[in-house]
Amino acid sequence: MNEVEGRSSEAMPTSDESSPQESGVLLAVAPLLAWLVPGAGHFLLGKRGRAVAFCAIVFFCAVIGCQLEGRLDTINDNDPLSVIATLASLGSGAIYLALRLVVGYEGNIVAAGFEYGTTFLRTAGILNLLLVLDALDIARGRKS
Amino acid sequence: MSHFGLMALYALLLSVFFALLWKRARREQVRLFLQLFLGMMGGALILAWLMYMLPAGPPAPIP
Repeated sequence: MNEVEGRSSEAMPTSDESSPQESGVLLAVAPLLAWLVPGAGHFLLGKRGRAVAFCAIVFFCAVIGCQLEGRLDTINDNDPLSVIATLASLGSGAIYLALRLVVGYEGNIVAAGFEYGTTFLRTAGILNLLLVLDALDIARGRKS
Repeated sequence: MSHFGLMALYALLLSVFFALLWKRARREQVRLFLQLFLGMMGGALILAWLMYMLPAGPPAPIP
């Protein structure tokens, strides 16, 4: 217990200054924000340089995926693996929601870059899910 | 963009991402970036050459 607390204070020196309530709010908000906007969780936690880089990489992946007209996955009743693919794509948060609900993007199966584009779109989602976990670790004080 | 170009771009983006995610010191980040990028590119090229030796199958159907 003491070791965990010791690591926590070492990894996140500002945690002593914030109250337990503030830490709890940060713990809840940072991962949610990280999912919704790539890099936003890190930005909220003060890792601004990394946040900008992560945001640029995830957005760039998604833009390339759309340029190549890859598939934006949805759940297909006949294909159980589509659930996993959809969860991966949904990991990109606002990007997925904006493309699906605002733009109505689906992809173009006859496009030359369809498979590559699909890979880039799924990768954007998976990378953002990793960012959510990383933001959670930073908020908990397990990582700096 | 060519298949090779897209593969290189994919490897580049992933290498930068994981170097920033996993390492903090600049020197370690550069080292991990090079390991990941060269590993992915080199691995893909080696696999491509190995597959080149296998007999070609029928052409893929056009959807």
